[in-house]
Amino acid sequence: MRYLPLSEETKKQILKQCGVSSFEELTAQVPDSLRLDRLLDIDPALSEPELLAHLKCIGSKNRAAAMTSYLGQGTYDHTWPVVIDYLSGRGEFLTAYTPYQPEVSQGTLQSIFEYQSMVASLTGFEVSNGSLYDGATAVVEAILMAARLQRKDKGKVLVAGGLFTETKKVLRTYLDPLGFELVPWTIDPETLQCTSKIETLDIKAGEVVAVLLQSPNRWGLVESWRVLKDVSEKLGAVSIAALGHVHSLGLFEAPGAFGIDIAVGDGQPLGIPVGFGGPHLGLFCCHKRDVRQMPGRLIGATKDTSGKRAFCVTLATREQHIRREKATSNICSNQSLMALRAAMYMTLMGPEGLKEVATLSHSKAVYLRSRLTELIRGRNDLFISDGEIFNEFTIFVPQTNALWIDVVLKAAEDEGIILGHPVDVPVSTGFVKGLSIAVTEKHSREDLDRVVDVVSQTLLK
Amino acid sequence: MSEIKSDLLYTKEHEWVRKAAGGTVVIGITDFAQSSLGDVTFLDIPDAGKELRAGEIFGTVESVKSVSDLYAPVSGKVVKSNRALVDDPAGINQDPYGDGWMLEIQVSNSAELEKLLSAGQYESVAE
Amino acid sequence: MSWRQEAKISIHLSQKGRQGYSLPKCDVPRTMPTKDARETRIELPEVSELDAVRHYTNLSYSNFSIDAGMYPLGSCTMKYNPRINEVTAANPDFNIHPLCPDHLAQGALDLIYRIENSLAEISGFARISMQPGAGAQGEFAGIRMIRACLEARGELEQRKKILIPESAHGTNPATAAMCGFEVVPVKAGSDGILEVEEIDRLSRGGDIAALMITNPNTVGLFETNIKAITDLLHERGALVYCDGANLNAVLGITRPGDWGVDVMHFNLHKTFTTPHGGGGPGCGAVGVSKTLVPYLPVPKIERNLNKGEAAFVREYDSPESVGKVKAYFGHFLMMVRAYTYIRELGPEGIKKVGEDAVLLANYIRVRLKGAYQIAYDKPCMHEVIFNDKKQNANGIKTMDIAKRIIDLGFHPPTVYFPLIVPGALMIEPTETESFENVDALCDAFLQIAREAAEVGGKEKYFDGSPKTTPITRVDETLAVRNLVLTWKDL
Repeated sequence: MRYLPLSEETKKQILKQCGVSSFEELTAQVPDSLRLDRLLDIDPALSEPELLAHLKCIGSKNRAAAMTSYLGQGTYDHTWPVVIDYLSGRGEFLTAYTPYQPEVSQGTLQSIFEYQSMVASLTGFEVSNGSLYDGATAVVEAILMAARLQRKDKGKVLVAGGLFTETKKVLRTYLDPLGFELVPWTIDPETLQCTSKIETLDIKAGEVVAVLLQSPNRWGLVESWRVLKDVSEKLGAVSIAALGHVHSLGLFEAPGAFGIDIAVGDGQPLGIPVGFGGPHLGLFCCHKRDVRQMPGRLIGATKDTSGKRAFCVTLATREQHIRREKATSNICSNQSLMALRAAMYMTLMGPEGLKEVATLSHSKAVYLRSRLTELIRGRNDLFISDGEIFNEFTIFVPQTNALWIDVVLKAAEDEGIILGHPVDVPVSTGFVKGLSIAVTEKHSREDLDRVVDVVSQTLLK
Repeated sequence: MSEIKSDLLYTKEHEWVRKAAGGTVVIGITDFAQSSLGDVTFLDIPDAGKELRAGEIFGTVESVKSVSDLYAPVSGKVVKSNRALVDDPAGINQDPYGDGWMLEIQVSNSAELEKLLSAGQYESVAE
Repeated sequence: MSWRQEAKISIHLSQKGRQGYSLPKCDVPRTMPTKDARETRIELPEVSELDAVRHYTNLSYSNFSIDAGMYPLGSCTMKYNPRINEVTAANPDFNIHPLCPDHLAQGALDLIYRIENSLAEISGFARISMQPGAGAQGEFAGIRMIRACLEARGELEQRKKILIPESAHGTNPATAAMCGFEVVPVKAGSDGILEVEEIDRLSRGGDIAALMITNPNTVGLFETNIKAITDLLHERGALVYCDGANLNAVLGITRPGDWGVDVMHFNLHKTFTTPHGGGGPGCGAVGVSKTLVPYLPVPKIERNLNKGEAAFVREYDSPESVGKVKAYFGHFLMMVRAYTYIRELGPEGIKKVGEDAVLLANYIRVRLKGAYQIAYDKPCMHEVIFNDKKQNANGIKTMDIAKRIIDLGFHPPTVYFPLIVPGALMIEPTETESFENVDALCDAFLQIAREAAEVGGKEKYFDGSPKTTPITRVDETLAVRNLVLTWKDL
């Protein structure tokens, strides 16, 4: 009972001081009919050594932990400087509360201010917030903000066909009840990217509140922020850039440089474990002119009474604790500890480190893709696009070879490899499915060559 | 003790109304309102041309820790909007009855002016 | 030595060519983008590892934390964050990709299944989903499910209103609005709790979708009439949402599922010790009654006993589900921490949590109620609420008390919330605090009350506090009027 120091004697003493003879009397406001008359039927308590062994045993059932993974789709298994675990694990950061009292929270406040500064620079925007839950909910928040900027409470949203599947599902859950209509921005079946040719789509200028494009898209292909800007202007809508992989900003031009209105993404690759899905980190950037409509916590710089530089939560009037039902969002927490990890990551990596890790992932992905492309040359039962990628690409199958993906995944698993994730593809492309493969600096050339071997074995059949 | 000017009319929502020439009125918020709010950080009011209806919300005024709605005291068309105040709302705190003026409205129904409070009546509201 | 030295902004530590990272060499041909390569500058610091360590270590010294001192924050439940939780969550076996197939992720799925079942038993709900990332997202999931249920009944058109007590946390009305509902405020009775008559009056029109209730409520009292209220609302075709922020008070004593509540969100970062981390991540979770089970987010974790080796699966086939409130399955690594805590406590431990939390809060109540005006003069649950009326006579307000107590070594209590108690000071000790700490907290408050009663006390003790912190009071107006949100604008 090491977290429960109250002794029986003190308990009796307190009851006496409260003028009652029993705990039941003290809590008389709880009706007897609702009181539990038994202990909870949960597993018995474990001591620390037993607890450690128990959790270790549960963990050991994750066979994936011992395998080499090529899974991606918005969450990427990168390395991080190990010192981040020590620094972010300091009790002063880990066990600190939300920085509502700035005099005792400058550690948190300054680190989030620095995080905001770095994310803004990376994305090419003037402002970043202090983070949201994840990339998918950041996309939702961007659309809601776009509507507010247009002084509308609902409308049509042109949604790029290449959005991650998880993101699409989350959009429906949030936007359907609010009356938003998600209009598909269909991809060009040849290039698997969105284009400026929107004449065939059932939309008119003035009825679209936002245009949303993700790059790289879910097939790993780099899309054009120029096209996003072009289409939003045509439609008089707010442009939203969803980053498929934040490291891509180390190699590819930032959306801010193209005059995009809002950028969102997931910052998990910045020093945060894949962790079976969470906690991750929602990135959200916009222009200073729009900052009053931005959701989420915001840290600003100011001075204290002696003129010293200090940081505090600012523009709180956007938030739920003041605006209540008129708040920009119901969000209360940010992902502060994850934003801290990301800030540490960006600080330790610096611009050169980020460019280097991006180059490693890119080069290795290009290497694997080119070896596999060479392997399947001349075949018409498998297809790999040669479009621009970052660290992820897709092998497409037609109806005649639909079962190959399961076959290759099984063959890879037998070799201790999780070869990626099945992704759906528009029928217009002529394919029925794809296998998405993501590569990071964790994969050695030997690893990649092994993948080529595994794949080639499945082709002999 | 907040300042209440005897020659103005008032509303329960702590706005003041000054009759001007040509059937218009100038409006703003009272000294009591600005001191309750604290330092004003943001003001949102409509531009000239907007039609207002008495009792409806026409804008908001914010301080660091609060947001208050602004209610139209009378119906009419906005003929002037104090954009300089929007750029720097400090005038609301420093000179609520002068530089802190917000809108000039062309009154569409002068009978509504009868419903406003006199300085004496407002005094009991602003306690 | 860098004790309390003003930390430079990290970018100002930067020196060209310095690096704090170590990456392997590129063992394949190096490639570059063929177009739209980055040309704009990436402004990140270039520092050595030691510089980064010093920077963050010194920054950390400016933070108050549970590890260092007590946060008696009402409704926040700032209890100790056990370190064993950090050890179990750091197990590399748990760091697998969320898209791993079921049969390769049995450990992760087993853990989610176990914590769902534990929370179901603790709270009395039929089923749990761990998907929401934090309390506010859990609220959204809950109201979203209520909406789906009413839509399935064909009643959504007529039921557009949600009843929300005036004392509710700001996320409640914000969530209702996010789901397209109108907010109808509800006043509590003079004794601080909701009355059946008032709910009856407001729900006669048949246009109510739900009531959002917090229990114990935000003034620290148990909603004694809750079962009568939920029964009435169910009769009238409405549903009941419970904000579970104050669950700590009732652990092992009574269960929300038994109160007739249809859905409740958990704040695992409050009740179940997952660390606050300076403002997040939280860990949400929702529990539902049988009525709302069909609408739970997907995937649901199911246990298949006849499926050969693989026992746990993620089930996506749930036609009436609201879908997904966030990517993947929730904050998994936080679930590991919360599960570790629940397993450490066991049934006896859980029971002691609720009891000790309530006892300590009542101890504070009786010690302070002479010196401070108490909002409700009767036994409280896990938190007690005072106001600053007695201190106002000498010009001292709640904010002054809050800033003063910092110099006495404590984080301030919750202030100015809930809004229905003007000048509120809400104190929640939590059960992990030793009795001596709670006593010391009371001593500090009593000292402040004496100082406030002294002639000239305001100038002597309160003006300019806190005085012992790295910075003094900040100019929050300047922070808004002159927005500086990145180091570029400094």
